[in-house]
Amino acid sequence: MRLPLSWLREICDPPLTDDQLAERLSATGTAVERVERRGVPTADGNLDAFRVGRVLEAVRHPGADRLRVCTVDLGGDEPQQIVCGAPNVAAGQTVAVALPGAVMPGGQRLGVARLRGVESRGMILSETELELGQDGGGIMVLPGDLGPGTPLAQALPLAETVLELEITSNRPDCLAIQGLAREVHAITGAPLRALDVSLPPEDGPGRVEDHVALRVEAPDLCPRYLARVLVDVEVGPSPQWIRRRLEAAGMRSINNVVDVTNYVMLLTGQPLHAFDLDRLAGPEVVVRRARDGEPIVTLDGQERVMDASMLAICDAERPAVVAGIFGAEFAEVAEGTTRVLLEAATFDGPAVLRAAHALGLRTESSARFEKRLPPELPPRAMAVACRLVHELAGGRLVPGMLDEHTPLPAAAPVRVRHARVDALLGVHVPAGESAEILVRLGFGVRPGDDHHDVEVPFERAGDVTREADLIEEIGRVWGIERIPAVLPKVPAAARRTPAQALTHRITERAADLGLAEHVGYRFVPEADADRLGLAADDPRRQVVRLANALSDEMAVMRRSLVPGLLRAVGRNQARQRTEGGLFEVGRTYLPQPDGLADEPRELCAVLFGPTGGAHWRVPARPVDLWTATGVAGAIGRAAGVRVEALPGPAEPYLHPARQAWLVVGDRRVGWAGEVHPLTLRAFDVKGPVAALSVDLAALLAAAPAGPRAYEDLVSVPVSTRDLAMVLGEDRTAAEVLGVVREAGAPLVREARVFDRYAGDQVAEGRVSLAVRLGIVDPGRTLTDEEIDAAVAAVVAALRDRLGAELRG
Amino acid sequence: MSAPPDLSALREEALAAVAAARDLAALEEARVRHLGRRSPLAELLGSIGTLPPEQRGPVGKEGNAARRAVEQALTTRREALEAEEMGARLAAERVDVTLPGDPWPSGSLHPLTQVRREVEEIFLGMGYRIADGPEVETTYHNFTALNTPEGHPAWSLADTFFVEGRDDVILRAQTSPVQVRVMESTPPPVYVIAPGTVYRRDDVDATHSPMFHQVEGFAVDEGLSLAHLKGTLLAFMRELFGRDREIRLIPHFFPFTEPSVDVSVSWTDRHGNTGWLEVAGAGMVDPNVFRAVGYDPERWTGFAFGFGLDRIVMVRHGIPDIRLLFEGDLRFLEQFS
Repeated sequence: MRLPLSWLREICDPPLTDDQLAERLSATGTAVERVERRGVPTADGNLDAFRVGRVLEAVRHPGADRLRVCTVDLGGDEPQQIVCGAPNVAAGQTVAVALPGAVMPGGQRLGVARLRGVESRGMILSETELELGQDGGGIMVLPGDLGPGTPLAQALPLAETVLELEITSNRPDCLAIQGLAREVHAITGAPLRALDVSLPPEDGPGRVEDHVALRVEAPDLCPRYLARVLVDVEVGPSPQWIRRRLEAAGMRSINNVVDVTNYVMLLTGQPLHAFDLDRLAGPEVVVRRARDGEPIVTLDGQERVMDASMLAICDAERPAVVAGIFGAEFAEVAEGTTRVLLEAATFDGPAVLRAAHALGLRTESSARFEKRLPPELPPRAMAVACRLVHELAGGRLVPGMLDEHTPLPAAAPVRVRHARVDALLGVHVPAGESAEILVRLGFGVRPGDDHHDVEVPFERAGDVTREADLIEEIGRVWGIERIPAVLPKVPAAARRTPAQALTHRITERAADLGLAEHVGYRFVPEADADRLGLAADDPRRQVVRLANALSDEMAVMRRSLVPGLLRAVGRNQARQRTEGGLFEVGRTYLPQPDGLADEPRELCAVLFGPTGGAHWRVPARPVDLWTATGVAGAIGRAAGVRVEALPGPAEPYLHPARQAWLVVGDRRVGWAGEVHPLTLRAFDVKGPVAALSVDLAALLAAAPAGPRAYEDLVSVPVSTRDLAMVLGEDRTAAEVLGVVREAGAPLVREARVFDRYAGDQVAEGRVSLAVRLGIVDPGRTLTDEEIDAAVAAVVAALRDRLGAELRG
Repeated sequence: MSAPPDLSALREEALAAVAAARDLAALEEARVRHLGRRSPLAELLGSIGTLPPEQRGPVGKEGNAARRAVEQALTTRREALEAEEMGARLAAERVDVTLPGDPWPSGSLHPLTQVRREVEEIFLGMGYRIADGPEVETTYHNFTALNTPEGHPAWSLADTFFVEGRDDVILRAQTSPVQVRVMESTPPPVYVIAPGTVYRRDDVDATHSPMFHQVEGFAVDEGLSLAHLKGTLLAFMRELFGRDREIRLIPHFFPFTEPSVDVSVSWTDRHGNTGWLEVAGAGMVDPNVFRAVGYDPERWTGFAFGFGLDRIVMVRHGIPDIRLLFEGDLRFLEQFS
């Protein structure tokens, strides 16, 4: 909302500078986004360089047909010579003149100029040059009673300050100069001039019913419709003062009648519409729902298609206005119009909003209606508009008014308790002060013992219905800045839940392992399922799909973190980054029958290019499956569990022979592997890429619950035995360790594969594995016999169950 | 009968030889020659019995003293030579100490995570627990229960992502529905923050993203007032941005708080300009919200606040474009390790 301060100060004029006023408005809840200075700069006495002049003589320039050489009386001893290019300049006119040295609104400084060889000591001004209007076609001609030499600022508002305000959606009353003046009155105490709602004489012919019929067929979308008629209207340009105000408020001047509707909207907040009554078929006004597919050619010349959710103001044949938004050309008031029908109505806010969105049209009018205007407002705006059309366009008002409305709401008084004011604001506000604030805001206050009973004016009825609403009004005007800062007394510090603490730890660990944390978009292309190679019946093809996605690339909620991470790898590779690791901790979204989603969280990581390398003594090594399982193991240790890899197949987007389930005991917690070459190709990523994923809920379930009990592994020696064995090459390390742990229990407490060899030294189809055993019994030193027996049991089990032969 | 041997000459000769030894081998040679079994000193001490009785005592005494002195000199010299030799050996092991050390990895936490954690630590310390809720959320929790009836501009396909085929399920547009969910399931008093991801249907540009991050905070107790909200936010902003910060509350409007305020923090930019940075929306929980979750608004009062994490990250690090946060560009992420 643009607030020209000269307009405001005509209604309420607090003894504050423009900047002080802006600050006070901001501090009380009317946010000032910008203070705009329009017109002539006022610094350094610049206004003195703008004077009233009288043209004594205007003769054709000897060297240019279009220029006039004028002799202008500026009140001084000698008239001055000014060259002027305006077509309308003539002797005898009283005009606005900028003298040499003047700084113009755009900032440029005027000097003594020579135009085609003729000296010009100043400039005769048009509206545009002073930012007073859009009429740049000719110079301004001022009333003749202004004496030459009069400072121009006495005749015209050369400088204007406009505040650009952000009006919150609960305050449609502040989308009006009058409402803002009320607000300024409340926050400064300066006197407020009431809106003049007196009608001009009703001396038009007949009664309004003789001129037009009104039928409201959709009262749900139009709770009130008011119409009045003026005859003998002379359409023409508006006077300068009204054009200037429209201009400063950000609107364009059309003609005197249309300008009045816009002016009254700016002043009162109530949009109005003016129809050329002679162009309405019937003549009749029908307020009805549009028909599906019903066309209307709006003022901008475009044909728009309405539907049955939209309200149309029609004549007997066709829509003339999309209600509250935009009119059609055929019924507009234009030159030649003599009978005018003025409309002031109340339309359903959400319906106007929906229609404006659907049609892609947002106007000053719709922006007000969508915030729900009170049905009590139209008669006031109508009165002001009728008076102005009468004054500016000579219209004669036809007696009577058409007024269709549903029952007007009756507002009950709201009680505000003094103790509650103090309790909610945390500060004592004396009852006298709260009463004064409410009265200035326009509320009616009836004081009680410990409370006020408050009548809410209709302008605020949508926003103020409860005690808390009144306390807000009191607090913001009394001064939020006066409220002290106090900390509540909270019993104790809080802690993270076990799940939160676990997430915290493993996120930290992933970063410590050299991975960079990524935060990716949760909405992804639906085609990701194909890029991942998911089977047609894979449950992960069930997705949460957005009804109004921004694009196909953001169409569905992700079911996997892999695509987002692979795309990030691709972007990095495209920027010549050949190696690195990324991880993300986040949710996936599984649609549920109730329409919501299960949102499990996982940690997913991808590593690409070589690890190591580019270092003087650490050789590069391509990432592979074991890079991924190694990361998984380290993540598991951060969670206090041993994560192990078991043969897949786990995922279709992983290398079929190089992928593994990640398990803790017999609980699956995730997967690891090398990304499938087809998947890499689908995401335009260069391999190899290793990846892994750990489900956080599964990891949490596997994590030890309580504190770990101490075991005495300190005062006793641990015996180490290395076993080298040869066995079939399809036996896995996990199988070997499983057998070792089972057969060696309880004394064999550690077992680790530390070497693997296949080649010349062992037979075809066989492989040599070396396993290191750690044998210990907490708190007790084992005898050699016990150790040997444990080893023997392990060896026997390996031989019997896996066909392993011991070497060396 | 020979003359008594010249012990002092033998001693001086031996000490001179020890001192002259240039390395351990020469020293060993000197030891053998002057203290060995065949050395003049050893032979002399071995032949004491052949001396006249009156000479045996003094010669023996003097001879042993000479031997001890030479042994002492040998030990001292050996230690010196050993130290010298080790020094020479170590000196030969000189390397370029400025070559890069072993590459222990160091990754990075996303700046959003870093700031979120700071926020969490501050509020945990003030007694707030951390809660979260679903991102695919009902319109009831995101709007209705938050005193935002249907017809409000936010409740539209233009502003909020709806799930296909449903008019009552959306991607949450704010973290405030967590307020409702926590209060539905927990009796007061509650002190909770809820960091999380939220979605609004904004086209992507330098300052807008359809996905961004908020932290919601709320407290419900007996006797909480706007003064407590102010105190809490002041303490928080000072912890996060620095002790010298001030905050400014300005009346505003949100459907689910009454009164409502915009919160700004005093700010000095990189060029030394000072001003107010709008960081949060806040207010006293609207009685309609309490009614929706079954709290008695006469007995309980509370405050709530919400702020955008992405924006704080951006101003704190001088990041010009919000899209950088979500691209996974290692050149960006690794700056925050």
